[in-house]
Amino acid sequence: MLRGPRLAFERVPLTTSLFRPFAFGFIVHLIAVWCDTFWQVALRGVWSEYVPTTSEYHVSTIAKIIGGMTAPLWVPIVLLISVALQHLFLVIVGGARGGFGATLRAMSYAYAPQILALVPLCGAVVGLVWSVVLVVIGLSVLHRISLGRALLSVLLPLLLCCACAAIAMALFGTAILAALSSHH
Amino acid sequence: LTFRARQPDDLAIAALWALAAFCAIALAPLAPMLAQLAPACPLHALTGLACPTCGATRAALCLLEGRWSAALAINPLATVALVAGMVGGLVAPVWVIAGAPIPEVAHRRALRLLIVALLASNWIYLVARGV
Repeated sequence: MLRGPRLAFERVPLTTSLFRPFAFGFIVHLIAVWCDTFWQVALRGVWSEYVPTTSEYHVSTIAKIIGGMTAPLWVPIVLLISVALQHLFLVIVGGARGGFGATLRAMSYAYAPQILALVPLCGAVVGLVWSVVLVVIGLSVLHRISLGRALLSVLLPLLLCCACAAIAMALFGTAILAALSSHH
Repeated sequence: LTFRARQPDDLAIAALWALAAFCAIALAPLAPMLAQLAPACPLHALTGLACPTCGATRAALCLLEGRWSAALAINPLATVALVAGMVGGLVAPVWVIAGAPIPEVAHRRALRLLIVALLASNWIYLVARGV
């Protein structure tokens, strides 16, 4: 999966039980959450130095530990909600040809690089970016759609938010210019 | 909306849906503490504008306290999705095991338009309300 993702996804059977890919995604995600929690608690001094957070977004160590302990219960929810949202965006771009099962298989196996959370500080981020790349390849192969369409379905939420932000900033800029010109 | 016969993946999807619903019920007492772990919205932090999912965590907490109208006011679409997710998780396995026909949307284009319209109207509401 990590060295030859396209070939690996082409070998994923679409007829076997969905529990196997789900179990794979669940275990990898769980390990990633536990490692991430461990590193965040163990290296909290380093974290606060390099990643300054405001009091608004500060999460207590106790909350992080409870979050890690209850991960076996919330990881399945997060997995299924992320698969459902991704499938929704595939439907929007007209790429959900393989059904919900194909999206679940693609995303579950694409979580493989998140095992990099074993590496402190940068491992989780590298794993996340690598996972996004694998999601695009997995969706493309399992739904039999082009890489561009799969990429669009993955980036659509981000693109929509960026477009919204750009429109808001343009309106804000126009309002400021109008106010300045009327002032003169 | 059309109906089709059961396919091999349907029972697994229904079982996983039920698993998620039962996990959510089990986590309900810890929800206020776990909500702290939900990541802050980067769009809201950067621009002050709500993203389509802004307020979903607060809506879930309101639902757990039984404040339905408050949840609907914060994020209507997320509230409906959360309730549908819980009810569906409890009903889907029974439905599939009973051998009832599986509902399916035949008109993909209509479904696409409906999803986009729902997301867009909910987003406009969130931005206008300043959630």
